[in-house]
Amino acid sequence: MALTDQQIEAFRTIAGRIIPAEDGALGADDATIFADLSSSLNDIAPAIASIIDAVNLEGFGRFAQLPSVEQDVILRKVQGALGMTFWAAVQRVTLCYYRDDRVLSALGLRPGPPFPRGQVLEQGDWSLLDPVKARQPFWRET
Amino acid sequence: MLETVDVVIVGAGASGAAVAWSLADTRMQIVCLDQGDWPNPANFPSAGRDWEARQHTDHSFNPSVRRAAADYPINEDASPIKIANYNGIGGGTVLYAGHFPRFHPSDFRVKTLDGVADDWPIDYATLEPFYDRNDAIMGVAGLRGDPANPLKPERMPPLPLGKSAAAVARGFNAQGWHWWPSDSAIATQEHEGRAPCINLGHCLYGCAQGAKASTDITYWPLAVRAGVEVRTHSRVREVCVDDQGMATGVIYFDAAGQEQFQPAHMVIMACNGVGTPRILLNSRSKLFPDGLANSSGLVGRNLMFHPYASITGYFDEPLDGGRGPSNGLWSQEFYETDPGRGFVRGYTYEFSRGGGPASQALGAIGSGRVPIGSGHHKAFRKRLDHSTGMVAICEDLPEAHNTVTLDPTLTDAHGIPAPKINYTISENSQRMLDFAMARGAEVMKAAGAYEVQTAAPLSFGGWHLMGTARMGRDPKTSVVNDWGRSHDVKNLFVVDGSLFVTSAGVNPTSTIQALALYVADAIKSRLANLFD
Repeated sequence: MALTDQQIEAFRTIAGRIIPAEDGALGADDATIFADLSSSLNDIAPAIASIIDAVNLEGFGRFAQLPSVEQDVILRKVQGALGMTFWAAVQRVTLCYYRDDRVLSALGLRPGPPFPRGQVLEQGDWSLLDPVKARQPFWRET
Repeated sequence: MLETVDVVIVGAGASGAAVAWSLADTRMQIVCLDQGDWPNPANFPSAGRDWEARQHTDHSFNPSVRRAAADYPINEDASPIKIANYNGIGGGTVLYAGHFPRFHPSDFRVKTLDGVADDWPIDYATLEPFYDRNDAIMGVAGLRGDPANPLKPERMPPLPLGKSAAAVARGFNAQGWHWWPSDSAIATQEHEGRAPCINLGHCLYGCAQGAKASTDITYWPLAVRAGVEVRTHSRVREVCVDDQGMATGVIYFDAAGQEQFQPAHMVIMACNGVGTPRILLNSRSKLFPDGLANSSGLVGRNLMFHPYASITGYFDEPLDGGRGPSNGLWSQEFYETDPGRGFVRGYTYEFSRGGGPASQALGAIGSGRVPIGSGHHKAFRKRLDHSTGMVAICEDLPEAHNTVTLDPTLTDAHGIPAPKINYTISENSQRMLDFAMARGAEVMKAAGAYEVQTAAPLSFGGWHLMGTARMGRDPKTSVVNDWGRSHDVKNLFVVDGSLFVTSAGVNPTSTIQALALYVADAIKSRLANLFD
């Protein structure tokens, strides 16, 4: 099942409320982020269509025009009603949002995949092990 | 018809690789059939910017999510714990964290010590040389001298603690409880041509660096060089027998989907605790109407997982996030039985560093700690890289009603009946999970966590599949003998987690492989009269 252009545009508004543009952060409806997101929706298209239908029902077809506070109320209601179906959308939005280079940089994280550059992990304080080293063996003999 | 080989091994995972490598020095003609392909590390998720998304799609450890061509469907509706596996060369070692603990000596004497389940027909001392050999080939990082375990050989230097494991270690110290750098099959220095770990933080979904020991890059190159043939995209349907009740080979579907019969003098099952009983139960014949090697009725029974509890602490101080291996330390303070705790047997705490940003966001949204909609960013910035955790891996005792059977209607792409899982968590396990969550929360609070989240059982955590073709000396109460040979079919062997009599409270891979090497050694020492 493929979503129609109209459904994709409707979902853009929903995605922009799941992770909104506020507090200086981008929203999931940002053009670049949503282009990435909308290209990965086909396998959950039935879930997306159900969410759009439920949102339209709760918002009397005017969801996009409602103030953000009211949109959030509607989304919480739909979330409660659809459970895992709604979670599928939240999961996909979140996974696409938190791989955008600008989002990661703004959070102080290095954009891009872990491989091949790898990451730095400090050794940590090995003196913490001293009291455990002093312990006698306590495994059960047979 | 294909040429008869000496040995056909079904499954190229943890145990199939080990047994193939060991038997290769006999110069027997050995073929290993696996339904999957060689993994290509260049395609592992951590090499692409969609690395976190692929954990939830084509590189999920849950085959029902992954749905690769090599996977088979599993009816797990009647189980609160869902199967995790990987079907391909390397098997479960491709998608595991690399935890490499050993059983304790007491784990082989459960009945004698605690009056529950059964003793194993072998003991720790029997397996110890095979544990040592396996550690050397897989490559294990850790630290000698753990007071919770018998002394082990020298290992590579332990994985770094980082900020997160150090925080948890402080918590254990404050409680006066045991912890130790965990044994991990992750190279911390160059090992047999494998590059050391560079902290990708993605062990569970395939190591693009090749630092984590999976058998496609450890045992298999050695076994193939020694002459073992690996045949990929080859899905076995059944083991065939002759009128004397001896195995004659296996029927499988090749890469083109054509049915083939591979004749063999010896058949070795290495398909894990679900795959092995599935094939044995599907191998019905006039002589074996209830499935092969099943005169005891125990093929597919006594399925054990390890029920998992998770404990996550939220801290004010910045921690490692997902930067670095999940592994770092373990605690076996509550491993051995103490009747005062309200349950028998015990468990291991295993540190779990954390996930990437999207995984952390999803975890926080899912638990209601970060909202969707207004307030999302403010709440998430506070949580990001400020949490860490651990899991409790609890010993599961064998119960005959926990089973792998054949689904009456569900089949795979080749029409082979799919396995059906029936499993319930026992009262003993539930009490252990509750205790582990309570003590784990105390550790996190002592470590400085301002908030602790606990959960059990982890529904996605069916990584360890054990007990469904158990070993023992009595043919009435076991499927194979004390060296892995079927009581009923004298040229049929099992070498995977199905062999387990009990599960212990640790990850099973090193024990599975030690058993495979032990069975191979038993075969080699009896070649002159192996089928008597």
